[in-house]
Amino acid sequence: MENIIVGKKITRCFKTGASEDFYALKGVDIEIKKGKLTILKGRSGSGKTTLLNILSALDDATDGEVFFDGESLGNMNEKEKELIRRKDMGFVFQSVALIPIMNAYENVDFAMRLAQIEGEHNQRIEKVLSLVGMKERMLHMPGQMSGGEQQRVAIARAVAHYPKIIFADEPTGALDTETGLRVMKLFRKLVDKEGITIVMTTHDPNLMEMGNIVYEMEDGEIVDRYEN
Amino acid sequence: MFNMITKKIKNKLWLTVCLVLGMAFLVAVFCCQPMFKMGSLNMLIVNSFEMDIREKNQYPVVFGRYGSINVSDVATMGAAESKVNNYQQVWEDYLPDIDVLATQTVYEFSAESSQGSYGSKGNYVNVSYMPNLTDHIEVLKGSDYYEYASEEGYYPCLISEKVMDEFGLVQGEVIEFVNWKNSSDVTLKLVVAGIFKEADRSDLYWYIEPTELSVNVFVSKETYEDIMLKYPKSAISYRHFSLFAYQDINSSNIEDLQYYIEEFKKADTSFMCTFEDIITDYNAEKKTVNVILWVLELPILGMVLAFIYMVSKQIVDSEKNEIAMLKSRGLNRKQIVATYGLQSAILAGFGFLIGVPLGYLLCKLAAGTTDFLTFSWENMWVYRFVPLMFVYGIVAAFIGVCFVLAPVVVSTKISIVEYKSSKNEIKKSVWEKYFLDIALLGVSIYLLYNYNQNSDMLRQKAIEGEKMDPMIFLNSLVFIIGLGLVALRLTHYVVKLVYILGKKKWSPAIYASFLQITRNSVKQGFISVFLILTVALGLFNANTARTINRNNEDRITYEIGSDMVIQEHWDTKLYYLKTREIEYDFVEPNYARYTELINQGICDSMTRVIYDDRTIVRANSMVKEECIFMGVHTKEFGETAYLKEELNLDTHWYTYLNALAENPNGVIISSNMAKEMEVEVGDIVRCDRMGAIPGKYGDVRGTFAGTVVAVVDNWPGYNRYYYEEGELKERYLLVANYASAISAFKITPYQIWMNVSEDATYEDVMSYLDNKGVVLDDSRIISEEISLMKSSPMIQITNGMFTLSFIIALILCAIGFLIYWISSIRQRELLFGVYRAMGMSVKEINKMLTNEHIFSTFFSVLAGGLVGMVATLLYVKVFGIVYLPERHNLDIYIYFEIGDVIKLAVVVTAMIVVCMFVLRKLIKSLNITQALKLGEE
Repeated sequence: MENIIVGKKITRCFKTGASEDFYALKGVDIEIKKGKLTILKGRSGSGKTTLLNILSALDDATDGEVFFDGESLGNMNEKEKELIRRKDMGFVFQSVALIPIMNAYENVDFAMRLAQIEGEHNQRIEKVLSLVGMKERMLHMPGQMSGGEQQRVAIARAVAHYPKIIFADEPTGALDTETGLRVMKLFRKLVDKEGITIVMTTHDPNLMEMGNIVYEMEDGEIVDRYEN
Repeated sequence: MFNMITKKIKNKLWLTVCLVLGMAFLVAVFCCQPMFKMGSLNMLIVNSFEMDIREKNQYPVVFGRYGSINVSDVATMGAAESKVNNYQQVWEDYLPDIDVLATQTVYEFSAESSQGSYGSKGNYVNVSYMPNLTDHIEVLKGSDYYEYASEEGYYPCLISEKVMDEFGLVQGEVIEFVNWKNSSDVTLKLVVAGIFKEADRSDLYWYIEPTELSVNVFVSKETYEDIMLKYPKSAISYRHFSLFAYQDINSSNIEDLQYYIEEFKKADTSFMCTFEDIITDYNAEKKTVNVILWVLELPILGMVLAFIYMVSKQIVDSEKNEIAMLKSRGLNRKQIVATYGLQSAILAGFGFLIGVPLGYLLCKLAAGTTDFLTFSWENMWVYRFVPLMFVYGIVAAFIGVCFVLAPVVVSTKISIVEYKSSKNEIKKSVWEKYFLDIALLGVSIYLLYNYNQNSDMLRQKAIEGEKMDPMIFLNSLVFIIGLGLVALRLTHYVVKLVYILGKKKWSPAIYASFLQITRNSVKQGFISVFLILTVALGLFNANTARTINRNNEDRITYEIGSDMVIQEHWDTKLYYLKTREIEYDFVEPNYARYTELINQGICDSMTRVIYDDRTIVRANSMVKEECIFMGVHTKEFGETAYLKEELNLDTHWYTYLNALAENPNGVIISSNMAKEMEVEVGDIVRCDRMGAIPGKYGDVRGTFAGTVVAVVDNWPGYNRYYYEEGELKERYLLVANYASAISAFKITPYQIWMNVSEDATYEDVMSYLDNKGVVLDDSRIISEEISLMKSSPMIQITNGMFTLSFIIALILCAIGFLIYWISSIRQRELLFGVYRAMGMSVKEINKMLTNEHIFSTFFSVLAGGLVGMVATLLYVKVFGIVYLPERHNLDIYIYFEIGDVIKLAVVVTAMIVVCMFVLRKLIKSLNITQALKLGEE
């Protein structure tokens, strides 16, 4: 199976002002396979979000290298990285990060505009919203939706522009167990039926079996890797 | 609790500083009110007295007494004098803070029987004594009575020039009172020791000038006493005047003064006071000053309170989470409000400390305003600190605290659950939802319509000096707010329309920014309303102040006609006709003294103008009395006199002058005369001028018949309308050639109209004339009257308050604008993080903000400008009724100065540029991963 992202010896160091700097990642090696749901598991502070940020070009590694589709992110300038983020990546955040001034439809439309998707957006928007079961409520504003509903719209927004990969940081973190499970099922569906690649972080051990590949992290290092 | 408060203050240092600033402005605006009021009223008092001096040519603040003393009651003149002086002592005792500057007492022997007559012709003179006379006179001929060595039985006396002329008395002449004898049957005989005039014309001692004491001959105190005792008279009469310093009268002692005048009048029927009408006028105007000050201060106060509310809301909004949490932990509403109450009381305390001195400075600034945004620091002394400012300051601080607490009270109502769910709700403003804007606009237009319908009545009321109706001002405010909100509503529609029109094409940044503007109307609406109102009020205030000032100036300029118009005192030469009738000629002063002013470069041009407003005009067997006659040198007059450009649009007034120049017997008449006397160009009118000396006023001095060469509506120095006891009357004008006037009426006094050169001032002219010993009967000077007008309380307050509100509005708007945008960026940090994570570049986010600025800020500024202009067009003329109620040849003309717009534009642009700069810095420093973390809280 082909890798979409390969990370080699990724180190992320934060200046703390104290005599010793803080290492959030300590030389992590990681491979993200296309068409799979990869889960980064770990307790809070284990470095999983930092790793996700670096893999998604939101943050830069202090040391080591990350290849996206065979190209080194380290060699790209900010503009190129922005372009990758808009076109090839989709994001789902722990906090319900829908844009509050846009309704469900517009939130999705916005992502498509950013990715400069040509042609009629309408069909695609309706399709992805029905995929997440939110088509009927597409004209609702985020304030009028529950947390789970918002997260589903966020997922629709993340897939609408045909990204190569979706990054989800604790997508179920703010949701109750049942809603969280439904979101995970949606992820599974996207991977299985649409062939989308997803990388997500979670600290919830109950969700591990939903992933194809699970990396377990502790203190900035990957301590375990297994496939379901 | 204190620790918590200091921590909170530290956390939001900038917002807290803004809040203190808001409080300081509130206290300042509030407490400058009593100081400004006192100052304006003091100015009003000083101006009223000075105006009175100009009008009556007499000292204004005088207490007086006409009385008589029985000779049997006093043994000496000293006793008589102390009796009279006792009255003054009483006045002084009751009014200790008003100094007596001078005293004039004239003792006369009561005019009874024929004792005062002398000589064979039966002439009558009054033997008088004035204390300290010799200190205030210049003896022109002979010597004063102390130095004169008279023969036994002849008392020396002094006579004025006037008495000399009137009675033909000469120095050394004996005045024998044939009917006034002593016990030995010897007649009273005076000898004229000398002839005098007053040493100094401006000497206050001469309240009644020697010319008015036209039958008095003066003797020394000793002589007077001697006559009193030896040539029995039952009583002596006296006129006593005490001249009080009008500069000592101010708004704090005028009420006492008024009270004591009433008391003096009750206690002494002979008491008289010369300035009761001034006090009455003052009392009427005081009410207007009160009203206008509050009314013009209201928009400033509203703006400052809105500012305080806005800043407090920003603080509370950012602490809503905290408030909700405190509530969930069991703190009740009262405790939370109390914490904020204490915090705002501390801030109000700082605000008070800064506000009171700031109020003092603002008051000085407002008082120094001579025109909109123009300052001069003369006459500042009347504006003084008053202790009442502290009380006002405390009240203001309390109101400020209430406004700070208002958003706290609202937000403590909601629980943490409600807060979280309401966080992202999109709400419509209350005014937008219930169409309050349309309602406000409707009400104000209805009221405006009413005002316009009743403008004649309002005009009349204003002329009769009734208290000003503050509703006119409030109505304009309501209109501006109403139209401002409607404009904001419309800009929302326009933005929506633009958004919809290009919906498919918009780039993500523009797309997001349009949605931000249209969906965030409550929050954005507040700053937009602030901007619209600031710009609209700024422009409206500027235009109103300009219009009122300029129209006042125009009217003064029109009524005077040239930079200066002076009338020198002309002497008359009397002679007897063969018919034994007395006749007179005027002695023309040397005109070359004036033309020298042109040679010296002080004046550019000047001309002689015969001006007489007692002319009788006859035509078509109709008669008009009290018409104005002007005799002019056409060329010089054209070079010297002004006529407002707008009045020359159809035909330039030089055309009429040319027509007059071509026909030596031609006359120009005013259109009202032409209409009422049914006269046209080519017809002949006759005009009679009347006598100009006492006893001759009723006689016709000469007649002139002229052919009408032009009919005019306006003429330099001619105002068709005037008021007599509140009733509108009209004047009629007839202008003839100077030479024809001389040949018809002989040489008569003329006015000199002067155009002062740019490098000189009227003071230069005056000091030149003073050096030449010119005595003026009258003078009108444009620049002097304009500056007097500018210092009148109504104009002073208007200019001061409009300027102040403009400056404060700009300061608050600039700060408010910055705070709003910075805190809005802070609040949207997570959103920007999401945008950035989704791949938007910093450049695009800046583009987004720029678009927001264009469609919210720029549109608001534009809307504000439009609202300001519409309000100007609709309301400034209504304001004219308040400020310039009298009908005039010059209609109220709306002045609009592009400089004001530029000033406003520069400040607003600078504000936007600084804001954009700060925002760009903020956006640039935004860390995406940090921003995203915000959402996890």
